[in-house]
Amino acid sequence: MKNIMNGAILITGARKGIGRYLCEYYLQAGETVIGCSRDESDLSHDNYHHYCVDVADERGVGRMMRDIRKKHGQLGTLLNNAGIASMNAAVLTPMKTVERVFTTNVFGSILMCREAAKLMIPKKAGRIVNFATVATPLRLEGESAYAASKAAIVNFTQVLAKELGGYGITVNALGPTPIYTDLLRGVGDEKIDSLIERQSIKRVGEMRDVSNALDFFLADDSDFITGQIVYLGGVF
Amino acid sequence: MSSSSTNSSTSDASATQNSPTVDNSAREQIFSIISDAITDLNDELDYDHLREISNTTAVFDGDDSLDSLSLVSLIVDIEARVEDSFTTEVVLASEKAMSMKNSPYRNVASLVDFVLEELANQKAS
Repeated sequence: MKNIMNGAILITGARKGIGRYLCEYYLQAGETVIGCSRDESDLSHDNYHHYCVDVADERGVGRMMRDIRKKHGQLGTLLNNAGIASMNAAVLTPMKTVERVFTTNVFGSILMCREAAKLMIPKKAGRIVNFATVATPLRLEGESAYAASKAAIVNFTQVLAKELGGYGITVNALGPTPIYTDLLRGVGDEKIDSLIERQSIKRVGEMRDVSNALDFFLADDSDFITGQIVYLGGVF
Repeated sequence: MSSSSTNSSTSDASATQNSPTVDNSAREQIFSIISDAITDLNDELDYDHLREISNTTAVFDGDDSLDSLSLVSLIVDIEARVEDSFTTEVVLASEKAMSMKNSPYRNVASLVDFVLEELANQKAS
């Protein structure tokens, strides 16, 4: 791994899936990792600190950030991984589901970015990586709410990159292909296969594909890389 | 927001300093917080008009304004310092602040008033 931004790494959706993998990956690299999720984590490590908070809960996120500031002083990186998917035809998707998807994926990500930036602005350095999805550029049928919520994040990422560029904070987004996590539970093999057929490189993504791209965004030398959306697997 | 509430929340130091309802020790403490934050910011900026801080020192008003990047840095720093001193969270970059007819960021006195008001609102809620 290249030298990455100084300061703790905050990972949302840290309890399982990609978030859990990233916690372990950066702990193994010797970083201080702060994870958050709605539920407790069973990850135990001297350099790991967990907060039970819903990313869309403004008060809860505020409390967490105040505590991080007191205990760690500075935040180097935010990996905005928390997200929920909804796979359903648009005409059959209940509004409650749409609300739930947008609350976590859009409002939660925006809130986390805002509060993390407040801890990065004083030291004039930081890395924020939001999580997009290949469902957006593929205009994937059956994932309208999910794809639309992540499309909002793509645009938000690029606007925020402009707003925070002057503070030495980079803001990028990573769009993984399907990776076998809880998010994909219940998705049939046929659907996954047809999605993979639309990628330039036709295989299921792996966790290392995610951490490899993140290492690039987080590298000290990547301070001139911002507002970029990287989709894995050759999707564009 | 009504014009009357706008006026009361952004009145100048000369008026609010004499108000019997204002806690003077809190006012002095907040003035000190804001003054320290501006001084720290000015270590980097080195603006002449920010070397001596008074109630009338311009923050975001007229020719002596901070640029928007510096204003955001200052507001974030003041929020953190107020929180440390009063163990209460205040949000100074609120929709309310942005929509006020007279910006609470225009000078030190208006900023002190705004912090006091937000602290009072937090206690009341």
